[in-house]
Amino acid sequence: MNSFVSIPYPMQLFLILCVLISLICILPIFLLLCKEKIWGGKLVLSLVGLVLAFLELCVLRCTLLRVSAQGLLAILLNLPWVTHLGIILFLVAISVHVLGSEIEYRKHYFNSRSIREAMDNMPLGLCFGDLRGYPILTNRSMYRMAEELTGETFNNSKDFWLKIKRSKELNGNQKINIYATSEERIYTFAMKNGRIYQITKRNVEVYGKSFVQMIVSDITLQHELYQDTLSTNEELMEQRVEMRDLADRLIQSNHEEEILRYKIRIHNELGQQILATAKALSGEPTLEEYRQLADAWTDLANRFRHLDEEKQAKDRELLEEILSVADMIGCKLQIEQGFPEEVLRLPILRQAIREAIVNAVRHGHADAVEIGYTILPGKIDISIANNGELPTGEFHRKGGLKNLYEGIVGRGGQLSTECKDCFTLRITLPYTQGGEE
Amino acid sequence: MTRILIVDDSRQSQFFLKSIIETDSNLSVVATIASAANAEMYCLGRTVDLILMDICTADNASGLVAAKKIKENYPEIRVIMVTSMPEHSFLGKAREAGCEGFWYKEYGEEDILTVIHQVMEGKKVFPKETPAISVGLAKSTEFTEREYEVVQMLADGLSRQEIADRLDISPRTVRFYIEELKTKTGHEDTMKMVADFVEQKLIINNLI
Repeated sequence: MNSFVSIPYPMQLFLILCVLISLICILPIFLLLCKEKIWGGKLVLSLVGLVLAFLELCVLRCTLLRVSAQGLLAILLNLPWVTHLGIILFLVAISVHVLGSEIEYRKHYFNSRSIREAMDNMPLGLCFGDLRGYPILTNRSMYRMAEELTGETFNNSKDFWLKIKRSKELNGNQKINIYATSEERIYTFAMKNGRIYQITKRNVEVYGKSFVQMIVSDITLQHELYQDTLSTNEELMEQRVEMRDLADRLIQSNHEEEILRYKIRIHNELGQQILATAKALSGEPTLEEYRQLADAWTDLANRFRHLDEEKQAKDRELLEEILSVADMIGCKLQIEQGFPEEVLRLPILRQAIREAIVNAVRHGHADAVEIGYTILPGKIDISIANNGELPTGEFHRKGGLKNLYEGIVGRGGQLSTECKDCFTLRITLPYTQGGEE
Repeated sequence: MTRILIVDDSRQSQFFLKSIIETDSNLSVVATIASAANAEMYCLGRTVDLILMDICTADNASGLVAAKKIKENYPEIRVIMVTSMPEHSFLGKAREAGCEGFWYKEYGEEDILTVIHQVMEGKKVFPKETPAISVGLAKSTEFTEREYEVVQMLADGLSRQEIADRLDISPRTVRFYIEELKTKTGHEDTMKMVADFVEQKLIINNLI
């Protein structure tokens, strides 16, 4: 007796629908697995599902059409309807599982098609060819970009490369740069549509075989940034030249100011001497007074003659005071023998030495400071090192050191600090041997 | 015993101050230096209680700038500014720098030892005003702050237009100030008037 008959008719239709849907889900997956030769549990499960679906369809057909069956079908027809319901539910479960796991699998599955698709979607043109130039693997972008460059269809990578190499202009596109390393050559073209293309070629080896790899990239943005950087660098170079000029003018201005000071001094002293002489001569000076006048004039002349020596002596005294005060606070200052005198006399160097000592003692607890020098073409490199503790954390230029930095840069020099074995202040100043610059 | 550092570029002043201080058994001069720029370095040794600081010192170092740095880093060290110049802005600048005292070498009403003792007791000792120095027919106390600024810039060699630009006033106003100064001092010539101010050390010419 057909136990399915007891189920209401709509229910029978619903069950047929479930079986059909399961069949629709499982069959393509089964065929795909067979095609891709993926043997495994999923294939077996889908096969079982297919068989069950087929059998149930036959049973449901006999039930709906009220036809009698024989053999296996008859046995199945006589099974309780609960059993059939169970089989159909099992079938649905199989189809859901197989479909779900297949979808999950396909998300992460790479095959040649997916690789091909990925290649074609790349924004740059890529071609792998043999040594004769026949393309083995070329993506869509390569065809498009090669045609834009040459105006012709891309058929052979060797011919394409020769055109790129030999032409200064191709299809209205201008060659703007050539670059080569031992491994690759790079040509850059400015396209007539405003884009910038870069073509590179290199030999690659895959599983012992040699291939030629060619890439065409759109580097418009990078090129613009590069041009901006070049332009900024040029501006910086110009500013540097201007700064240097400014520094020279500043030095010149300081020099003129110093000359003016001397002129004022000479004017004052000479003026006083003249006034004194005029006053003396207006009376009736004795011989002794004449001699005194003469001595005063001689003295004045000698002072003027030795103004420069007087200044040098003053500068030496100022430096000696620094040495003396350093000694008083327990910090020994040593200057390398042979240090150029004219550089030692510079006020900026005195400022630097003071700054170095103050920082060395206050922050580094140093008790010795050494000043060394190296003469380089057109400049002198001065090092002021101390034996104190090295600064921890980031070092910031502030206060006196900042003022010193500005003073040195204003003279066309450089100031830097080093924290290797000891803390060193490094100053570079323009200098020509025999006289400061 | 109060340990004193003397900062003055004049050997005579150093000698003069030292000899006065050493008459007091509670005071002792630990060192004398010519440049205010070296004063901060000396303080690192923590061997000084009070500094007598000249304003214009060797190596073009300003005593006022040095005093300010010392007061920032070593507030326990007292500073008395010492000067022979009755320059109009020094008093105010010394107060701003945080100094404890100010003493005019030639015009001081009190002697330096009294000033030192009062400062060491914790008092602030400042003259009520800058000394009244004669400039032509006028006294230095009769000039306004703006008039001093104009004279200072004239002494620095600036033109009327440059002065006007710096002070953010019109050249006509600058001319007015100059005329006022000449009227007060009785000088007919601007250059002579400026020279008188410089001569009396009421302003300092940056080039001298």
